[in-house]
Amino acid sequence: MPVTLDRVEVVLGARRILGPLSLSLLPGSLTVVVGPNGAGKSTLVRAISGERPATGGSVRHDGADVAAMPAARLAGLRAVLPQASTVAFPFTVYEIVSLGLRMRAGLSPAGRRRAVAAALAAVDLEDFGARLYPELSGGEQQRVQLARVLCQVGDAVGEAGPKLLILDEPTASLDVRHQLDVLSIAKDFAEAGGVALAVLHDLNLAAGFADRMLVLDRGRLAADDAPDRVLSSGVLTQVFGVAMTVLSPQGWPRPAILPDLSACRSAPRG
Amino acid sequence: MSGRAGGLAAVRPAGDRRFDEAVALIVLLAGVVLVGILALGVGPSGLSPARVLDILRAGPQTADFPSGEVIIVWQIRLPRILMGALIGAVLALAGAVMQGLFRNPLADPGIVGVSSGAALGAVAMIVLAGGPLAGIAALLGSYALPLAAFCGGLAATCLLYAIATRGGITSVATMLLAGIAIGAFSAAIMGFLIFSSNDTQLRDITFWSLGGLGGATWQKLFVAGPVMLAVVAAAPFLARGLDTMVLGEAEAFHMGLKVERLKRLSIFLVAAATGAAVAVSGIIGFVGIVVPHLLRLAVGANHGFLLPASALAGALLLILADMGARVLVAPAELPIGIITAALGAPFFLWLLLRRRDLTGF
Ligand SMILES: Nc1ncnc2c1ncn2[C@@H]1O[C@H](COP(=O)(O)OP(=O)(O)OP(=O)(O)O)[C@@H](O)[C@H]1O
Ligand SMILES: [Mg+2]
Repeated sequence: MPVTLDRVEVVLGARRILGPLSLSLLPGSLTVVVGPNGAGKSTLVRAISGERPATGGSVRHDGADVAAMPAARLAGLRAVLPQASTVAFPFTVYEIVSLGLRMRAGLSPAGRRRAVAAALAAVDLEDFGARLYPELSGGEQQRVQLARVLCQVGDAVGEAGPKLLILDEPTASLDVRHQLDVLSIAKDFAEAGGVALAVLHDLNLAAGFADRMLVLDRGRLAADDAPDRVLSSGVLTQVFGVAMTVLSPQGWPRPAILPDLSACRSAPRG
Repeated sequence: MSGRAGGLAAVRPAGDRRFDEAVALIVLLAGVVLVGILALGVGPSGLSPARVLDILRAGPQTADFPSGEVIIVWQIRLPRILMGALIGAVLALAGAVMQGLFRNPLADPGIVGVSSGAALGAVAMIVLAGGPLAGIAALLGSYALPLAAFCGGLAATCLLYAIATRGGITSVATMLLAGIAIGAFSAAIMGFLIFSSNDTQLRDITFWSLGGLGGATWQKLFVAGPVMLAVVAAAPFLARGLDTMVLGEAEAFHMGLKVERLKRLSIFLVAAATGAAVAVSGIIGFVGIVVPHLLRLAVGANHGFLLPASALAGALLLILADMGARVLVAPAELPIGIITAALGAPFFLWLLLRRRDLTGF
């Protein structure tokens, strides 16, 4: 039982931002969190990663309380892809990615080089090693960060058990091909026995890749189910306040979802 | 040829600059030693580098050379150059550490009020030595001024930290703004002290505040040197943490860094470095901005390289600037702070303008 949340809640001042919610994240599956802006998705992710511990309840990784775990130990159990990272100094892509190996002490120099090269290849940036990070495009920077995160997690299952990969809006600045790449990476990580958790705004990507979908609404869990059941339940329409049509094109493995364009304020006419 | 290059490339992946960094460190080290020897010979009575080396080898008590030359090399120039090298090293280091901590290449101990605090300490001692602080001044003798500057710098840093830290979390933005406020407040008190000082005190203040190495002696070196050496020795331990911080505090935490501990260590290091430097030589500006930036542009931004390289290049820069100070208007001497500011301020402006093109701030 790698990651369990037990009555987790985040209360800031008088405002309840999250919870209380209880759930477990299981190895072998990619869990996708969706929900409106401000629903508490990033807050949930921060509580799980230990970055900003929950104010109530507990998050346990293999039984150990995340809030009480030293940063170094946590770093060996999970890696987190931030929404966007600016770097003010002229570090090369190679140097940024190899920062991910910081806590992996057992690697030989050749092993480190191979790990960096493999991570760069995984995000389709083989030839970018010598480029300066601040000069990359936003999407390229995001992929470099993903490569760094992949270096940090290493194998999906470590000596201490399955690891956790957390991606907060990993596709936000990526083109469609690399969106698919990133989610495939998360999916592969899960299939290799790891725990994968991603926050997404694109409902079709969520439906296409998730093994399990969590719908957050104003800090509460509005749905927690397989994607097709979530889609057909109408909960998304309710939560987002937009009518949606669920399509199941023939020969298409997953359902697709179309928001009703006339529901937005300046709907295209005709 | 191509096979060899291919072999090298296999060992050194693109973007891995550690080899260049090692070469640059060796070049800088050699530069410091060479320029140091050169500087020992430069001045009102010039000595060739070979003669300087001979005198150095013969030792301070030697009778094989004219005693005037021995005294110039051993008692006057050597402590001065060592002091200059150490001050340059810690000033550049303080800048590099502060910039890494703030993730901003424009950060500098001068900006967060540490230098101002140290300056306030010194000015207060100069002005109040004749009044309320007379007892302390008499007790400490010539150490009174340096110690006061040191205390002022440390006090500014502690105050800064107390303001900018809430519940164990230091906000970099608050810290920068608080630094500006502390600097302004120190300047206000300093202004009042200067306003109420007499002519002699005014002259002392002016000379001290321009910065200079003219007063460097072995005795002063033995007081401040160990502190500065400790700073130089401790800095490399921050390197990996500062590298991680480059991505942001949250990411640094995610990668396993004890963020708060790194911040505290960095702040303490900066306070010690700046306090010691300002105490000895007054305010010598812009070393901490110029040196790390040039090194990042020329070689690399990795702190494992940047910190030791900043120390070496800062030493080099200050030895050169001090040489200029002694030579440019000989037989008089320019305050060294004038030289570093004259070089550094335009550079800082250029940096500012260039950054606006690049990143829009
Ligand atoms: N430090 C904070 N202080 C006060 N309120 C906060 C803080 N952090 C987050 N919140 C509030 O908590 C709520 C949830 O924020 P969170 O960032 O988790 O939303 P989200 O679901 O990730 O939204 P988005 O889709 O925009 O990324 C928001 O209303 C936000 O204003
Ligand atoms: Mg968010």
